[in-house]
Amino acid sequence: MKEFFATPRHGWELTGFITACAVIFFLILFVIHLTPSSFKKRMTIVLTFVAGLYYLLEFLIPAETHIGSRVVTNPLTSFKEPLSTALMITGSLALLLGVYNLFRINGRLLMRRKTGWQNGLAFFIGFFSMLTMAMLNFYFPTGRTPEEIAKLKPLAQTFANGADQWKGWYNVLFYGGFSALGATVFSLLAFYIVSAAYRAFRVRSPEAVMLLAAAMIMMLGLTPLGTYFLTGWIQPDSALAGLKMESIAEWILTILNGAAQRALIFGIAVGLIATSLRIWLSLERGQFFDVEM
Amino acid sequence: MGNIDRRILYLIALLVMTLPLFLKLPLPIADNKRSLDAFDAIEKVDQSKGNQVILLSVNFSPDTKGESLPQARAMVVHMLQRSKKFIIYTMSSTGVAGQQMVDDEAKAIAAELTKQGKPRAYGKDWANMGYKPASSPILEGMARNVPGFFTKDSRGTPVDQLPVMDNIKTADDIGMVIDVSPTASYELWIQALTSKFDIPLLLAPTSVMVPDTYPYLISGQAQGELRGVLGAAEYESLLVKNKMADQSSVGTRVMTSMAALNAYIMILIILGNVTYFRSLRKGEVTK
Amino acid sequence: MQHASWTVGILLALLAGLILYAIFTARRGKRLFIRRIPGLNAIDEAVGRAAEMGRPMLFATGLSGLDINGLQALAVAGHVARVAARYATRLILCVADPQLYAIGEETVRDAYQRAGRPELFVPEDVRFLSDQQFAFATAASGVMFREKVSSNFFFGYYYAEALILSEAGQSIGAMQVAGTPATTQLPFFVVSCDYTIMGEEYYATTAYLTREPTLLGSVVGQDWGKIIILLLIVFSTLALSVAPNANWVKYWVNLFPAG
Repeated sequence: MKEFFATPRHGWELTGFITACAVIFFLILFVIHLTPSSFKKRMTIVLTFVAGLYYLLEFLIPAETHIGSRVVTNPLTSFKEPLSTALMITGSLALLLGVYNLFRINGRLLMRRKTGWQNGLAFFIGFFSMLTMAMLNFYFPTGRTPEEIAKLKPLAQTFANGADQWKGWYNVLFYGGFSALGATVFSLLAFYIVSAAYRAFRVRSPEAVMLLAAAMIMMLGLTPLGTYFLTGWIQPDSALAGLKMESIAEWILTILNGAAQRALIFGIAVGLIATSLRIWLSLERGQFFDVEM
Repeated sequence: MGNIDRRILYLIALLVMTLPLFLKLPLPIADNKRSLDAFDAIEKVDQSKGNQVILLSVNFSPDTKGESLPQARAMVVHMLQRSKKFIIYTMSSTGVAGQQMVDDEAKAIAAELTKQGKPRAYGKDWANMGYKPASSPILEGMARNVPGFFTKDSRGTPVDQLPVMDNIKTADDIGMVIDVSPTASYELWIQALTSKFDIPLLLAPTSVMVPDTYPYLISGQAQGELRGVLGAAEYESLLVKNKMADQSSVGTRVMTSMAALNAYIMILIILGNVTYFRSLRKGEVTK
Repeated sequence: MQHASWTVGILLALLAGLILYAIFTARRGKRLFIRRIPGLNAIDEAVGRAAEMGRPMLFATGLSGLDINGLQALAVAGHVARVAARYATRLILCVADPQLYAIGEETVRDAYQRAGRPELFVPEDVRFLSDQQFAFATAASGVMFREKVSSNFFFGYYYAEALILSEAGQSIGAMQVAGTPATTQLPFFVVSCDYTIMGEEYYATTAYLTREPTLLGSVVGQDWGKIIILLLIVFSTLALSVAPNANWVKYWVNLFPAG
């Protein structure tokens, strides 16, 4: 069955395969829609259990088991990769939902001229310009020879001849616009840390003193401020080497922070096991929808 | 003084951060065990039998290039200087831009080395293997068949036409994984590849991710680390000491700004606490 | 670790068994205790503040996808929405994952229906902003400033956008409650939010808020599991300190390989 789905197809065979899959998919969806809601709930529980059981068994069964002289491999492992790919593809299809939501909200903002309608206009300009340039840059890349362009249809040739322009505009929008804006917003963190530190590091309690002391030591120990100006005079192989700022900072990171991180990791891991168990066995009670499982 | 308008705080912060970049005041960078371990780990990669390629996993977007690009650049200088073959790979769609930046840096460094009489060429010393989404099962599949996973490079060249990928068949032929990323993608490498096949792993996270990586460093699941832009500066300093670079690069220059900003923040904290205690004494605030 | 060793299998079975036992014990009516978590008590206070000021609230799920962290964030959002419906206050839910958007819309709609105020639900108040980190942070900050929100809730998995969002909220004087399992962002939330729920408290949130026997039992079962792990750590530390070269100690250590 894996080979049936994994075999590459071309031309009409591919079109027919996609059409057949789509028809079967909508047929199943239609049949499910006709069933009573109690059946749908039970089906959700069963499918959730089966899906979780697959991953649990795949993890618990060893990769190879020796039975006598035979070596038996884990039969479930071969499906893991295609399942993972299928899940990624399904997830990326959901992007259309997000785009629909953005269109709806910004469209209404623009059409009803509500306060801030300019943001809606900016969204549509940004969306369509980036989409257009990205697609043109992808389908008509630079580097094609005149002979390759001549083989294309007339309309495609027009676009192919403008490849340098599309790449230029794409670079302006992506590297000059999107990337630069992302880096700019990331750099806001530096300023926000200044205001957060000024406001928050007040010596109100013993815990606040410890927080402040640790923060100061880390700042001194991780920049030349402390490592060069404060304790740069201590030789690395001297008896006082442990008092160098970078050594103290490293001690805090390794011993104190390491222990705390491990404690948090254990707690989070056990929390994840418990939450996963509840979802897998459908033990939730109306947590997301008003449905008692 | 207690409630300075945050706009004034931000303006002073801007001046404090940018002036050192113009004044060009490089400060000496202290050695650090984690960067030293990373340096030694790359030195130890033995490619004499024609395999053991280094896998440089670059997953940063232009947002974090300020920290991640100097880290990647420093290690690329090292690998090209020592003629250690490597491939650049990204597992995230947002990492493609970062991957291209690292490839461009490698080209520039290779051109410089070629002028110095140490010829380095794309395809022979390094290759950009492009973007392939990854999860644990997909990387496990890669471990069994590396050329089956990297079928061609980012330029469309089939993998069997890339000399850098000669004799690279399975995970046993990967000499090291270097993860340059602002996310916890190193967990995926540990889970799927490096722990199972005993492949050394170097981490190059952004500064804010560093505390999270310490459990893996202490347990030996990662063999070295470049801690943000400080790690890049430390690595550049090691390159200069080992005569692989004439002068330190952007990582070291940025450290002066960082030191200045840290000093400013400490002054603000002291000022804030002085005001706070004065207000307490006056009875204006309660503890 | 791609496949479980037998020790991992036994440990997993033990933890799962303890959690399930606690769940079914709780379902049979046994009263269980959870210590007070101030941040969760503050949720009602934050909603009340918004109602008094006549301003909306913002709930952001960070960069959580359709995973345990995202679903947990939506569970909290559902609770906040129910309280908001009681007070007739507007809640704006911002998500960064389209799949989470679909579930989030249903969760909030359902919450308003259960509170008997379906007419208060506005579909445009559930927004997919962007799956890109800083675009999400910028858009959410923009929502905060334009809508002049009085309370912010940050629940989910956060990266660097945590400080951007919380400082933006600070600058408009909003009351802020944050909860995340992302250890790297906890310091930023602690300094800029009024209340922060950290680590495994995040997974206990729904149990604390709803007092459902299943969820309470799950939290108690987790604590038993952590006690088992703590005992293993103490035993292993003592064994390695007292007799590091003994064969049985080496055998014991090899039962728990790294990775």
